[in-house]
Amino acid sequence: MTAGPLHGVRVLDLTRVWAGPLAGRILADLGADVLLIEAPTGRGPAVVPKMAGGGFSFPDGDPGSRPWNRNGVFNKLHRNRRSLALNLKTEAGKELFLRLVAGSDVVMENFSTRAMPSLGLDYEVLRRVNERIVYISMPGFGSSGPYRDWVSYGPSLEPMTGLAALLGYDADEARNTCVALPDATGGVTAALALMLALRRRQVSGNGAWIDLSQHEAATALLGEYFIEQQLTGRAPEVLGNAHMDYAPSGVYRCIGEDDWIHVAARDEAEWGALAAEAGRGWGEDGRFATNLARLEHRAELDAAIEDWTGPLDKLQLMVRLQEAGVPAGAVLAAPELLVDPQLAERGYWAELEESEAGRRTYPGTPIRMEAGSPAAHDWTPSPGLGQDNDEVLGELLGLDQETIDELREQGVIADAPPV
Amino acid sequence: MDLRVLEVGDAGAAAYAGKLFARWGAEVIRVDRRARDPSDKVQPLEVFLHPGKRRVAIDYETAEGRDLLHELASVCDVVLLDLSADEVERLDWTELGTPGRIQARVSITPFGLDGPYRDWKATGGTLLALGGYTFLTGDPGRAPLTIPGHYVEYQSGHFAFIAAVAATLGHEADGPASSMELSMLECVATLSQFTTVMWTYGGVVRSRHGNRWENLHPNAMYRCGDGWYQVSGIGKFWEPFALMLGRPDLVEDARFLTPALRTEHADELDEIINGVLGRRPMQEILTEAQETWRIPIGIALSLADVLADPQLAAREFWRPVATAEGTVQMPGSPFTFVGESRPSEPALMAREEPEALRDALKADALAREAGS
Repeated sequence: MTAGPLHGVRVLDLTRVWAGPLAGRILADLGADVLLIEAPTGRGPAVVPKMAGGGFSFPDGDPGSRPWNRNGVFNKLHRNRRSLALNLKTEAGKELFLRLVAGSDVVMENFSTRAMPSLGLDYEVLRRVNERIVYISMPGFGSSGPYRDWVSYGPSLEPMTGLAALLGYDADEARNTCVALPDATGGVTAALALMLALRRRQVSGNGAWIDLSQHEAATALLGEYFIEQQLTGRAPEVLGNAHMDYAPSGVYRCIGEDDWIHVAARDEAEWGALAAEAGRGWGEDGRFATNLARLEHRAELDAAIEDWTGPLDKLQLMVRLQEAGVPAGAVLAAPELLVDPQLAERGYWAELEESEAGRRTYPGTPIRMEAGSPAAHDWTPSPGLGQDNDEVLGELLGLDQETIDELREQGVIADAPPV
Repeated sequence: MDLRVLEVGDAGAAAYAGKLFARWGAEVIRVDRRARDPSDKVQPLEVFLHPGKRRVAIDYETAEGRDLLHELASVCDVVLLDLSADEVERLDWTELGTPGRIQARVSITPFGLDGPYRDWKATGGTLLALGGYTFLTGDPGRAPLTIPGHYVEYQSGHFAFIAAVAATLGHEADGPASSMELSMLECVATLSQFTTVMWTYGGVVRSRHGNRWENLHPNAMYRCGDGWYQVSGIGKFWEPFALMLGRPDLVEDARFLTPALRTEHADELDEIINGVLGRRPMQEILTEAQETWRIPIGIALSLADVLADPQLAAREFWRPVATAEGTVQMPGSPFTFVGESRPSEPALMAREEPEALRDALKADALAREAGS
């Protein structure tokens, strides 16, 4: 548990993959006591290598003999939590879970719509043991409607939102971002929905069931495009890296094998500064005299800019343009991002000592609770599978050690995936 | 929500957070830097971001404007700012609001209030590039692609909403307000998927591969008879996908036995996939994949298709908002409280005079004080 405004809020987190764990991490970073309720098989050897796709998420590519505690993708998302590996398919597991629900504030899950009812643990069951519980389900398409039982991952949801009609080099070929955008939007939206529900509960005293659709969360971020389509009757164009309202805006090649820079000029001041830095007479070129003219001659302008940036170093050019007042950002790959001076100087990255994966660097939180304070505080690394079984069952439910050991023998709780 | 929120700034992040507050019943006062000309065309972004907000225009680049803004803040519970770092400091932002009433102040800036990039300028594209997103989208060898729209701004708005509401949850009556700071670049970096751990754990640089995913195949977008579909035939979905292709033998095929092998032999696998599905209509592929095989497949819909999507219609996702050029449907809340209907999007409101609004709010505060 960390210090923060959610101190005292207890969350039972049953989520997996990305969107749900991201929401849980946001709550945990804000100080909530987040108990990860994991299936003993949830990150076992049968699952991890399949999801990891070739071992890139293990230290030096080596899963080791206990891969479930060495997976970087998992560890990144599960800091500041405690782990209870509990088999919810057993009657004893269900009973223990419901006892935890009785003393908790939030239950979160991102299973398909059928999963919790089939376990006999739907909202009505949870509410019977705790009327104030806030429960969030976040299946891909929501809990109602004709697609309610459809399965999804972020990449398969993405083209259903309309984004593929906007993204790309041209209109002929649809594109996927390949960054699972709906997971990131679904996760953050889940965290805000929970904040809202807790705030409502603080006022009314009532719990709630939040039905979140990850499909809708990603669609919602394209709002202005849907409005434009209705007001004009026309679909917005696929513009590549250009901007509909101003030029230039683009990603331009720099010196290096795969080095690029994003440059934009939103007004005449930024354009004037860019033209002056380039020193190629663009300021006197009639084709580029006004924003309208630049939009009209966008292709020529982009070619002229790339001719200028091509032999230049992206980082040096970024600094030079920014110092002249032009919004410019080098296109960074992960190793460059991790040493970016701005993020480093603000202490953004979190360094955590994992129990079985060594000291690792992770993204921090963008929320600095008190301006001027350091970014990371008293964070704890991702827990090992079932690491906190005894503590959670002993301290929260008052079980003695003998009973806990029996539960372990019966396979109700586990410290490692079953062989 | 029983909160009054003051929203100041032009980058879209505070505006998006303010939109969420307005949707859920808070009284939101948006301060525009300058008044728009009434003859201006209806702007989709304006319609999207500002329903339900009371609007005033204040030139807060002047001392008088800043004083007026402080007066408005003095009767608010939450303040949301997205300005340049210099402007935030010129506003003396940690003094905004009345002690005992103000609960949360959130400053959103492109890079944060300190650090070497503090005064740098940014568009969403700048931040996606620097934050590690842009490098991952597009074809190898070609310029990487920027995500269109306002992803950075709206996700930053989400975080601002989370921060502000979390602060109100932990706020004690008459206690001090939280002055919280968000960097939009840090929002982007926070939402990286496995981009950084792939490097810090495996020593592998994540990069772009067209419509294919890094080290996960078949997790890709394919052309079909009348459009495009995305299939995530990975993990437990590989076997049903092979069955859907009518090729159960693929599961035992030595070239495709493991995820790593399927990635290594992606071209051969794609040839098989395209041979079976390449000419079929996308709607047919979608329906069969989801309803017969339960495989995560999506199809590339146009915006018009999305506006007519039966799932979104059945869930009443689209909410009407009247504009000067007619009523439009706009995305509603992506979550609902079961048992309650999805909240309506509030109406767009006419601009008010800032001094008159200030006086009315102060009178309201005095009346509330007298009442309590």
